[in-house]
Amino acid sequence: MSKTRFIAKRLLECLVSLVVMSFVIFSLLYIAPGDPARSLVGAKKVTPELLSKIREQYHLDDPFLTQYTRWVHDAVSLEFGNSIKAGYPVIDYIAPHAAVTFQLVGLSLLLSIIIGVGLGVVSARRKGRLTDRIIDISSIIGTCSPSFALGLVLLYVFSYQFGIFPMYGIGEPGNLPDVLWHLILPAITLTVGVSALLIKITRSAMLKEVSSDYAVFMRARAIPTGKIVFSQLKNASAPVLTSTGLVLASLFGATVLIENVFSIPGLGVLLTTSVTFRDVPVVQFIALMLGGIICLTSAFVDILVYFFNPTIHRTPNNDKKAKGAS
Amino acid sequence: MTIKIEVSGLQVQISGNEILKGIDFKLEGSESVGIVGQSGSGKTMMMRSLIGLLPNQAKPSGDYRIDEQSFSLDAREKQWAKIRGSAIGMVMQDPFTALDPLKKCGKQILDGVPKQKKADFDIASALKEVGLPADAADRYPFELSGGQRQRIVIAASLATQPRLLIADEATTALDVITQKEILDLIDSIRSVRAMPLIVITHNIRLAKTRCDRILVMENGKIVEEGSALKVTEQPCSEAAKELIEADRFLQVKSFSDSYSGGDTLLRAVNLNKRFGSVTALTDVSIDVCAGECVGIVGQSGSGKTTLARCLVGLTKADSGSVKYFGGNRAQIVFQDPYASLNPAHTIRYILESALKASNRPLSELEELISLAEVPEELLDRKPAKLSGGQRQRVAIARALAPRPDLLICDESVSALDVVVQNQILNMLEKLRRDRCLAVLFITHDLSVLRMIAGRVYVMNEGHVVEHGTTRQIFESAKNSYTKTLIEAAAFGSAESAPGELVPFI
Repeated sequence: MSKTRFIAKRLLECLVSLVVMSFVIFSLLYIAPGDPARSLVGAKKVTPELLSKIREQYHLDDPFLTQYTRWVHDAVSLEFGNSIKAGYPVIDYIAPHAAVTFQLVGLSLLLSIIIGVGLGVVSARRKGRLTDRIIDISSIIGTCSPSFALGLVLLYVFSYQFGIFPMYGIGEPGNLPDVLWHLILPAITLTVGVSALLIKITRSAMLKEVSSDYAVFMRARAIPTGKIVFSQLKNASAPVLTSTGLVLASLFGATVLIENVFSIPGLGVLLTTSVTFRDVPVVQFIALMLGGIICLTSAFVDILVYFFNPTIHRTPNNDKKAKGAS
Repeated sequence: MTIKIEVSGLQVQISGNEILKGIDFKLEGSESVGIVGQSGSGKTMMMRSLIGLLPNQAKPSGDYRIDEQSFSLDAREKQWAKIRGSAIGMVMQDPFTALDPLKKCGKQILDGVPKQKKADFDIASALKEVGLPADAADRYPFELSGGQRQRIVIAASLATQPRLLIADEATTALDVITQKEILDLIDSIRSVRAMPLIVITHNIRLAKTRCDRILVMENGKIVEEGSALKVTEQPCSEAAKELIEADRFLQVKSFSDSYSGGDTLLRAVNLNKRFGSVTALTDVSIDVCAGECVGIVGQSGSGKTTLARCLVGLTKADSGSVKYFGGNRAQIVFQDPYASLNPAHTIRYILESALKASNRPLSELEELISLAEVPEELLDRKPAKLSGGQRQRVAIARALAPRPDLLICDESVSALDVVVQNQILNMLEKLRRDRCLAVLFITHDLSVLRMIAGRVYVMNEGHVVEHGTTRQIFESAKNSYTKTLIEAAAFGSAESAPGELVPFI
């Protein structure tokens, strides 16, 4: 398969999942109990006239599919309607919250990769020794500890007792160092939960490479250890990259709880209040956006893995030849 | 440039087991030394302790002097860097795994060049020295054949400017023709560079033709030492005698008479198979009769494995027919005994599930293991605890469970050392005679076929280029490719001409 065909195919798959996802997200409004028109009325007095007026305004009497296609059409032209609660366009309403969450998730993704891959490599190279055991045990403890509880403990120790980190909030908007400073504790909390997965996957992928012949041969030629580890890591990268995509997805899930613990006004907090308020356009937009990000990331990771491995993309028939030859 | 190496009282322990039991070894000048022994005799461990590449758990002790300077055998990684590469270079056994699969070959060669020489290192001439064209630098290992990869491995070893080269079974994984080319290449490099060489091998015939001096190892000790001629002509140790005896080409004078002329068991007609743009089989037709042993021989890439897979239905041929006559069909035994058994199960479980799968009573287990000569005490072990030969016996026992009429052995002894090879071949021959089991034996090594096959098909590039009885093939081969194969297989007994550079293949 040629490079362009592979990329096109992968992006097409991504598009298909986005369409399916959009359909599910749109249906939620109708599957959820209660009359959408009633919730749109909000605090106003409910009269039959008002209800039918709202129904007409929002095309709620049209068949389901017509409504869906209209919604998709609007969404494609980046028109997501107004937030019911705030009364102005969803995008403007969400943007500041999204920025905070992206910073938080980005920071903890970076930490997870550094810690997960780093400790995974050390663990594999020290297989069966004390270091390996310690990393193993602490990563299990990390996975098992509930993130909200860990968040509270970290807050108590580092913010309350020692006063190193701020207690809550996101600091002065626009001042990046200050924002990052505020986001460090929540990011660490998020990282602890997910990095065990990366440690385990890096470790098992690296174990195969550590004992490989080419690594022995590199040692036999006095090639520096750093260079050998880099080669091994590159060979072990496929499962690590793929699971990094999964880690990103679970970070977005976990952030809902953590933002509440640290009182960070991010997407998670917005999502919970919007769900309680039945602010459907906002919920739909957040769900669609996160789904889109995860879809694109996993496509991107797959493409990256593809380019890392020359046996897939160079000379298309060679892999088959190797199998067919005796 | 010369190097002087001296080890005395070399011992290696791994978790309480003595692997090497006191070895004294000396190397000077530009001689070539062969270290021969069966697998497990400790020859690889000995070589690895000279370069600090023992497994982590290993504890070496003894006196190690290199160029009159004493060196600690349990030195740290950093100190070993002084010896590795610059003093001693190593050629690995398996060219298919010795190179980083994700790095271009030129880069891999360059990686080992000492820092101060990196600037004026000429990759093209390094490749030329090993008989490869300059554009090989831009290839990934998977784009090269086994022989070409081994040339890259040699070039990478030489790039570190070693004063001594160690070749650890450097040709065992290659087919006979490529083996000869690689050995010739190593010989020529050695004579051009006037560099000493240590050849580690289980093939005493190879050591005889390529080395000045031979050390025979057994159970972690050197049991015999002397000039190549003396050790091979007048061996005094049992180990040396056994190795010589196992070398079929020096011993077997007669041909197998396994051509029975019985009923036809399997008939494959005009098989064709393509993988993408690569043609693996072109109009291949073969017959196997009940109770005979048929050999299929050819180089890597000749299509013999594809043929085996087509015969048992693991690969579907594009056209042609495969027909079995009689009730019970074929079973296949693969090349790598390390990969073909599930490491999670005990031998008993593996064999019992094979019996269950073929609706046989479990009481036949005993018969199975006695047929394949699997010692009973192995039953409750897992494959990791077994030697290569023992595993291959288990794989054969498993293949016998459904009582097949035909056993297809795809390079089933190539990964084993000669002594074990012989045992397995004798067992197959016995099965054939006593149980009337037909055997289709696929190999790159003609000398194996000479011992057990009654008829031989020679394959090259997906074609059957010649077939006939083994005697006809050996004594009056018509096809030029067949002649090349016979010549390469006989390189030890016939006069070979080392020293000439082999062209790029």
